[in-house]
Amino acid sequence: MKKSLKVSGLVDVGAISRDRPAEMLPKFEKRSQYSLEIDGQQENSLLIPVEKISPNPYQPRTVFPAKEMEELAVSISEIGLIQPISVRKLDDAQFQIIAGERRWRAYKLLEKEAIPATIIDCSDEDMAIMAISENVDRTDLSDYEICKAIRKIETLFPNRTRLAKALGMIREHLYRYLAFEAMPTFLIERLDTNPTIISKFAAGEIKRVLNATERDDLEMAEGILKNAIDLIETGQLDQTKIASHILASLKAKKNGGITCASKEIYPIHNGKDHVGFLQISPNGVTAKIKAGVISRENSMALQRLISDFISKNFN
Amino acid sequence: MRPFGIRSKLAQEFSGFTGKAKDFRLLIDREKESEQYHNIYYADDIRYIRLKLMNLPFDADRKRKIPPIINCRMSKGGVGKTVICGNVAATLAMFGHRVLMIDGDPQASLTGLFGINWANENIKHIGELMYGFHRKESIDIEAAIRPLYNNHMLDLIASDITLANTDTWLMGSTNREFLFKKFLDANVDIFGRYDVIVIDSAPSTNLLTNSFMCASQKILAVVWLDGQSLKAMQVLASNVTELNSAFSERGFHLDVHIVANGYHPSYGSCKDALTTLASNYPDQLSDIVIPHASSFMRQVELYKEEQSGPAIEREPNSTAARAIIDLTKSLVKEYDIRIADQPVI
Repeated sequence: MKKSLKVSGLVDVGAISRDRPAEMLPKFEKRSQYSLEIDGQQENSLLIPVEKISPNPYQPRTVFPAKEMEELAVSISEIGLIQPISVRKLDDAQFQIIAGERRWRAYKLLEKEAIPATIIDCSDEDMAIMAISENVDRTDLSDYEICKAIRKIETLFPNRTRLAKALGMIREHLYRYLAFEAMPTFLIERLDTNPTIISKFAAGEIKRVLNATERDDLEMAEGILKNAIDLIETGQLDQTKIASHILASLKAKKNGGITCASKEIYPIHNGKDHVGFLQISPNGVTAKIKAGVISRENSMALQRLISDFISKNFN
Repeated sequence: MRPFGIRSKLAQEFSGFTGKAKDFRLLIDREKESEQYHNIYYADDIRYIRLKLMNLPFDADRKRKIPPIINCRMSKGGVGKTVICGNVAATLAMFGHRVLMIDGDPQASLTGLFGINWANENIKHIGELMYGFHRKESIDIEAAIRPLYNNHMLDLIASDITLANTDTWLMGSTNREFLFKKFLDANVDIFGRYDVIVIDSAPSTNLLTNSFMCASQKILAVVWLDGQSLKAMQVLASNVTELNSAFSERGFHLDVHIVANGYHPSYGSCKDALTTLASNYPDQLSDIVIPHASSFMRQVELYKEEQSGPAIEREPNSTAARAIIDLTKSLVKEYDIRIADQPVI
């Protein structure tokens, strides 16, 4: 068999050496052993046994979809944990999560024994605020869940001005969130199962409309609202238009007129030609006919006809 | 399909068999082909024998996860990336590993080394596959994979000149450095079948080579033993350092394994360059040195391209082939390359 050509062999026969001063070429850093100082500043970050950790009681997030958790677990198993979770120490060698419940759950899924965590000293009050402010700015927590979380910590503060300040939001915003409180019972039940169904803006609008509705019409308005929520859920009604929808429907119901959630358009033909359309929308009924199709006299006759029709039928 | 087989002596060495030649023959159930004088062993025969020696059936499978990746890399051209890539891949297949080669160089020299003329063939290269994946279109990876040895022992995703376009769309994609890794992970059912993936990179530093590097744990830096090539280490080192510092937070770290190529005993400059390498990289330099051998020069047939082939196929008993076999053995250890998830002893 032919002999192998090796660096060690060449060194042995004296053809080359390994002893040249070694500064000529750039160095490649070796993979470092797993270190706990993940971004250099977390001196008190440690590996804490997963089962010694319990979730944050003030956690506003109530739903942890299994699929998302699996995806997070896969990404953690591949590239590791980018940021350690934050915990506080309880009396009996137990820890409570301040931020990072999803990561902790993913670690449990992966059946890992310990998770990198930073220990922070923190009071109940701070804990609640941190849990909310961690999540408020993220899009995946619904307004309703934030409202519930705010309600939970409300009593920790003397008044709402202080509460708003601690949360870092203006008071108007805080009241928007709290508008969910004024929703009728059936809507609260719906929100408990599907918290994303309406935003805080829509909730504010609903509150405003219901407050302005006369007591006699309240039952009718709630019926319309119930219907409107169904329409929102199936995508037939835009939730930003909920106030005008309720008002228009209420008016229409009282007058016996037509209601609809979205625009309906019917074409008007002259023989085969398309000359205009009739549109029924939440705002009303519009007819439009192209220029040059009917004369001024006929237009005026049409106007009289419609006026007569309305006064005959609705008075 | 390439009809490359080896004779008993090499086959015994490759399968780690130490008994008598007669007993070795009995390990395989196939009859000798009639007009053949020697017993010829193909890559799938060696796999069959090795699995049999481990008491495993031929269809023993591995876990569906991305195998080790050998990424042949240097920022300079003409250092022998393709030669080492093609020869090591063919040798790994002859050792009984299932190997996928990816030609990541628009010059398509790896494709040419295996006798495929990209100018006459309809080639779907890795850039097209990644683009389809990036655009969430349906892609037919199986159709892009060309089998070279029987039983998928050696497969190739070929390349052509249009691979050079990849950077233009890669520029605008998010997380572009990890796009190749994501592409592999998303298609683990296909790529997880192989025991090892061998990539031949382009001799430049661009987004595609970065993407290949970010999917690897350790690149195989090929250095030609001269001053120019040592200077190019500077570029490679800054490339590696940049990726490592940019993605260290994700737990990404790229190691470097260096192999010296083109050693000739009568050139003082070779010895000088090797001394510099050995002194600077005591831990990273492979002990195996590839000689400046004429077998490597005879690999590509200029006028009969389809007859081209790596030195290990054409001259399996040459000095060049011996160096490649030794290098491949060391890489099996270095990269922990297995057969059907079984560690190789």
